[in-house]
Amino acid sequence: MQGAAPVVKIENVTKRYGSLEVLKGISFDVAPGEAVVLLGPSGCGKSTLLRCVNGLEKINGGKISVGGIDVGSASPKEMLRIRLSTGFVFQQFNLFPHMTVLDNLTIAPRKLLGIDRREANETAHDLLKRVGIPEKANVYPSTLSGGQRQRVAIARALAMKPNLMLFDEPTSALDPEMREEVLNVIRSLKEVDNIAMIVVTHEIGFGRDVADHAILMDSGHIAESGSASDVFRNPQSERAKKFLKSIINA
Amino acid sequence: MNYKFDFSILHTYGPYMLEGLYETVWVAIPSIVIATVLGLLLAVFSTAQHRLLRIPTVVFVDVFRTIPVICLLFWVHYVLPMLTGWRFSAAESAIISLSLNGAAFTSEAFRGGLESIATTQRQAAASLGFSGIQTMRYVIFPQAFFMTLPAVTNVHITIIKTVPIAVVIAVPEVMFRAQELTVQFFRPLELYTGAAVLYVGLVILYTMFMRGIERLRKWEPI
Ligand SMILES: Nc1ncnc2c1ncn2[C@@H]1O[C@H](COP(=O)(O)OP(=O)(O)OP(=O)(O)O)[C@@H](O)[C@H]1O
Ligand SMILES: [Mg+2]
Repeated sequence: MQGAAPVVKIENVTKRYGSLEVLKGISFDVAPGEAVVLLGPSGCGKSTLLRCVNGLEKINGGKISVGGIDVGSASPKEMLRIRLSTGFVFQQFNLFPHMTVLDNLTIAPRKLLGIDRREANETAHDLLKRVGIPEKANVYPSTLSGGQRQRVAIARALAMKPNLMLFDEPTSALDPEMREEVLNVIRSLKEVDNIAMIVVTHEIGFGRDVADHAILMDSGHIAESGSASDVFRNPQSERAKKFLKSIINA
Repeated sequence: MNYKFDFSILHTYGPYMLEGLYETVWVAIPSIVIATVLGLLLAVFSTAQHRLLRIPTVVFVDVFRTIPVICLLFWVHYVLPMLTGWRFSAAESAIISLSLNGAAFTSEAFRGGLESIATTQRQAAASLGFSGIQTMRYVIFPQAFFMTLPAVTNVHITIIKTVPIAVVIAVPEVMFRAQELTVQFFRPLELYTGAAVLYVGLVILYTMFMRGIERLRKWEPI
């Protein structure tokens, strides 16, 4: 992986909402196939950063590039390329409630990639098998459990064959029993498909065992950054020690 | 009370009153259609980024929401021809007035519906790569349609119930005929009761029609 151009390059990014400075100079890279976990207390700007990477929010300073394209100055066409190559999985799943599971998975490939319905359906069925709910193709999202909804949301993103996935607390809205199945799916994306990812999560086990790199954010700054095993097993800063203790005890 | 009921007048003039209902319907339906289409456009424009789209919409809605329909009717029917030279039949004037008034109210209903579709849905669509227009078409409208149906139905019913105000410009609909017959035969109780029954029937029919459309929704919101 050494020398390969990074999938995401974040350089000294700042972001304000009005007078509230949410990101105060964030820098890190994500290499192809690399999994980065992002941790930090509530309100420190993790979700904001993910939205900036996907161009859903504009940054005020610094630079973010995705696949070599500068997000800030991307033309609509380039922005489309960024979004097509990036999957975003939200804390609250954000499935389209008015579409069946199958349509949730096929609408974007059909309308944006021009894939015909038969092929899109086939891919969708394969993906549902992969995330463990092949029998749910024709139901509406309201009938699914939280864990099933999140797996549909992941499958919906995968249907676009992304090479980068952004996960915003994908398991925090789930009951503990359902977390494992969702984490296993995410794990396989890294280990089987080699998809680069930024995962906002406070799942210690996932961070330690799956992630390559861990970044601890604190009120808009990076408080600690290092290989996941270092950050989780042997944190350096007082801030990191305190934070990790707090989430282990939670 | 020594009023003697005599509903036989309805037997004689029932068909004449029913023809009036036909007039009512032919003012109500075009008004509902125009008000709804215009209201939808206004709702979309009122959420637009661009001030040149947004501000005229807001002004339009506030103006036509606040002018009393009866005032609007007189204005369209008598003042507008003086200003422009265009002439409208009484029914046309009624349709124009009810459309403008109705559009202001449907746009409010639609705006509520469009806004009720959470920004998270827009974000999910945007993150997949959908443009603003595609997001509207595939994600927002199909949901907002059903979300707004009850509120829009209420506006439609109000339009139907406002049609009789057009008696003041002599649209020959039910109320006009009831009045006309009352002057002639002095049977207000029977005639106005008959008129009320016709309006109630019409509203019930329309409500059932809209309920039928509501039942086409196969999904549940989450
Ligand atoms: N659209 C917005 N407008 C104004 N302020 C916002 C907006 N979005 C987020 N914020 C503020 O920015 C800060 C960072 O929010 P963000 O959601 O990125 O935090 P987070 O680290 O994801 O927190 P959590 O762990 O609770 O999800 C918060 O103070 C929040 O109130
Ligand atoms: Mg967040």
